[in-house]
Amino acid sequence: MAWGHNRLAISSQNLNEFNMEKQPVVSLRGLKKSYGRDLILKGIDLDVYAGEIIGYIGPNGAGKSTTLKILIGMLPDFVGEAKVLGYDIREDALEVKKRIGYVPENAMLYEVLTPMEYLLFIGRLHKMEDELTERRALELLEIFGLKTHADVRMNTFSKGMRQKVLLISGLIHNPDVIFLDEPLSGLDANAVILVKEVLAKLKAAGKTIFYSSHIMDVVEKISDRIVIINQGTIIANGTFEELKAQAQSGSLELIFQGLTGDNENSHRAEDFLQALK
Amino acid sequence: MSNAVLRILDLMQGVFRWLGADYDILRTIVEVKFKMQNRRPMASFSQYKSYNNDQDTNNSFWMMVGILSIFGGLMGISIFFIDKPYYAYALPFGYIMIMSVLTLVTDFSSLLLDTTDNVVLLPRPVTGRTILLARLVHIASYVLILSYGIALLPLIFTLFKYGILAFLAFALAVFVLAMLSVFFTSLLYMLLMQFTSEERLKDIISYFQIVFTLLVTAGYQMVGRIFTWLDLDTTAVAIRGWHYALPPLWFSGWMQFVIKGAPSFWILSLLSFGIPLLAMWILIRYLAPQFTQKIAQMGVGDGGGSEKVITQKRGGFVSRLASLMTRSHLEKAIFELSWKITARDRKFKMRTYPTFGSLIPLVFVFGKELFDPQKWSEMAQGYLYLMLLYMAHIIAGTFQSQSHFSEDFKAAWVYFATPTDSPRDVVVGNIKAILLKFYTPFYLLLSAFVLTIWGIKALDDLYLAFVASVCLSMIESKIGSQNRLPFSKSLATMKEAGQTSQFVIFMLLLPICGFGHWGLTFIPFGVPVACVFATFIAYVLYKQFDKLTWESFDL
Repeated sequence: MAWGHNRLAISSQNLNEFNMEKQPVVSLRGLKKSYGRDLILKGIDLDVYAGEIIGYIGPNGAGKSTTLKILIGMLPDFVGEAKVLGYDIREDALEVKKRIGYVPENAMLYEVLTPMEYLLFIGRLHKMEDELTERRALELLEIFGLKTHADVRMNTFSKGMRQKVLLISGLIHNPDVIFLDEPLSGLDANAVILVKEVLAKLKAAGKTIFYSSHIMDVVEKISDRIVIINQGTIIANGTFEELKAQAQSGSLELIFQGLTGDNENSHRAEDFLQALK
Repeated sequence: MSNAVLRILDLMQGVFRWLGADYDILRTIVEVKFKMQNRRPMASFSQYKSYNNDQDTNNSFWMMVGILSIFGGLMGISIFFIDKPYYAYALPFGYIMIMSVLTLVTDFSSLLLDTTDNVVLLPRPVTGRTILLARLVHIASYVLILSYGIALLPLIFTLFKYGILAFLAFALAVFVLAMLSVFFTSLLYMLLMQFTSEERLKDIISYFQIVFTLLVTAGYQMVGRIFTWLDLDTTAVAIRGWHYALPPLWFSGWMQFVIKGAPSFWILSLLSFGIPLLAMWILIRYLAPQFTQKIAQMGVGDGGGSEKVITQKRGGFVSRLASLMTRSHLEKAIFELSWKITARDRKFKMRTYPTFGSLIPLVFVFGKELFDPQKWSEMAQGYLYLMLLYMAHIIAGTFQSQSHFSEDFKAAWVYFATPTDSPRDVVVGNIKAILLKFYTPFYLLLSAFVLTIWGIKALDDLYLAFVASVCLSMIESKIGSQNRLPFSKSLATMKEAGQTSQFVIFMLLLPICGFGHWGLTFIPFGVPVACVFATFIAYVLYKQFDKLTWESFDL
C-alpha cells in the first residue's frame, strides 16, 4: 500500500487533457451553503486535479456530505462557483452527472428491487444498453461476492451488502470522476481491503476520486491529498507528509484531533470514568 | 397489467417528448415505480394485509384495486334498483371520489414524498422535467386505475341498463372525477406542507390513515341509511341548494342529463366538467411547480436542521403515575416504556386507533332514542348499557394484544440482558400501562354517559364490568400472549399467533361475562355480591403473575 506516497510516479502516467492545461477536474471558489439559518459551508476553495485521490475528512456535521451533494448537482441553490470537469454545475448539471459517479452515505436505494433490477434501472438512466449493464453488473456483483444474491430483493440485505450494491451503481457507467461519501461504512474487513484496491486501480486508470471518510488509517494510506474541513471551512489541505510536518504529529488521527478537536480527549476519558463512580 | 399501462404510454410518447421529457428515461422510471408499488404494502390497507406474505408480494396494488372494485360493485347496485339516475349514481360517484381521495392521501406519501427518489435519481443524468413528468404520469395512472377499478362494475351495470351512450358518459365522468380527486389531494398536501415539516407531515398523514380506516369501518354501516336521507319517496327528482356543494351530485346530475335528457340538470352538468377543468389548470399552473420545488428540498439536507427536534421532558406526570401504580423499579420502567411507545410509534397507532371505529355500530344499538332526551327515561328502564360496557373491552383487548408487536422488536433483547429474576414486572407493568392509558379514560367517558341516563343505581354495574374487563385482560395476557413481552415480536408473527386466543376471549368469555352480569341483575343483591367476588378473582389472577419464570419466554 505504498503507492499513496509516490504520487509523482503515478500521476505522470495519467496526464490527460485536464492536467496538461493545469485545469482542475473539480474547482470550488467561495462555496457557501446554508440550510435555513444555519450556514453549513462558509466559503470553500478547493482544486482537485485529474488522477488524484482526495480524502475529505472532518468531524460530524462539518459539511462533508453537503460539499459532495453540491458537487454532484443535487443541491443547486448554493453561493459561489463550483465546476466539475470544466462544466459549471449550476448550468450544465446534466453534463456533469453524465460523467461522474456518486455513492451516497446512508445506503439509500430502492430496497424492494433486486440488485440486478436496480442496476439495470441505473444503467438505463445512463442510457446504457441492457446487455452491457447486465454483463458489468454480474461481473461486479461476483467480485463483491453478491452473485448469488443478484435476484434477491434488497430489503433483506445487510448494510454492508447494500453498500456494495451502491458502490457498483456508482461505478457501473464507468465515470471519470467518482464521489464517495463514507464508502466503507458497514463493510467488513475484507470488503474494505477490496474497495481500497479497487480505488487504487481506478486511480491507475486515470480516474479522479473524491471521498469522505471517518476511517483515518484508510484515508492516510490511500489519499494523495487530504483535505480537512471543520465547521464549514477548510483548515488543512496537503499530502499526508505535509500535514505531518505541519502538525508535527505521527498519525493522521493525531493531526485530525489537533486541528479539529480539543486536546482534552484524555481528560474527557478520565471524567467519563469518574462519572461512573 | 403494468405492461398494459406502459404500452399506452408508448402510444403517447410523442406528447411527452413535446412536453420536454426524455421518453426512454421517463418510461424506465415509471416502470420501476410500478414494480415497486406492487411490492410495497399498501398503506391504506395495512390493517387487512397479512404481514407474512407481503415480503414477496408482486401484486399488492392490483389486489387493492380488486378489493375496491368489489366494494364499488356493491355501491353500484343502486343503479339497478333506483330508477332515478340522479339518486342512483350519487352513491357510486361519492364512493369513487371518497375512496380515491383517501387512498391518494394515504399512499401519496409513498408515491410523492419518497425521499429515496432524491438520492437515487438526482445524481443521475436526468432532467428535472423528466422526473416531474414521470411522477405525474405515475400518479395519474395510479388514480385512473383506481377510479376505473372502482367504477368497473357500475360501468357494466350502466351498459346493461341504459346502453352505450350512458356508458360512455359515465366513463368520461369517472375520468374527470379522478382529475378532481388529484386536485383535492394536491391541494391538501400543499396546505399541509405549507404549515408543517416533513416529519410532522408523516404524522398527520398517519392520522388520516386512522380516519380512513375509521370511515371504512363505519361507512359500510351507514350505506343503508344514506337512501333514507335522500328523500327517495318523493316522486319528482328535486335539486336542493346544498346539492351544488357536493361534487358527486354534479356527476349524477350529468348522468340524469344524459340518460333522461332532463334539461334542468344543465347547471350540474356544466359544473361537473367546468370545475375539474379549472382545477386542472390551477394544478398545472400554480400547484405543480411549487410542489416539485418543495419535494426537491425534502430530505436532501443532511440533518442540517430540516428535521424538527423533539425534546421530551424527563419525569413529569407519567413518571409520577407510574410510581403510584407500580411496586418495583422494573415494573415502573416498563410502565413508562409502554406509555411512551404507544404514544410515539406511528405504526402502533395505525394498528390500534381504528378499533374505536368498530364501536360505532354501538350507536345504532341505541337507535334514534339516543338523540332524543325525551326518550331517555324509557331507555333507563332497561339494561342495554351493559352491552356498551362490555363492548368497551374490545378496546382493552386490542390495545393489549397489539402492544406485543413492534417494528423494533429486536430491541427486546434488553429484557433478557438485564439481571431480573422474574419477568412478572415486565408483563404486569405493560398491562397496567395499557389498561390505564387507553381503556380507563374511555371507560370513564362511558361511565359518565351511563350515569347521566341511568343514574347512580348503575354504579355497581360500572364497577363490576370494569373489574371483569381487567380480569379478562389478565387472562388474555396469561393464555393468549404466552411467551410474549411488550414490543418484542415482529409484525410478521402477528397473524400466525395469538389472534385465535383473542378471538376466543371476544367471542366467548366476553359474552359470558356480559350475559352473566345481566343475569345477576335479576337476583337481589346479585351485583354487589358479584363485585366483591370479582375483586377477589382479580386479586388471585394478579398474584398468578408472581409465578412467571423466564423459562417460559423465548427470545
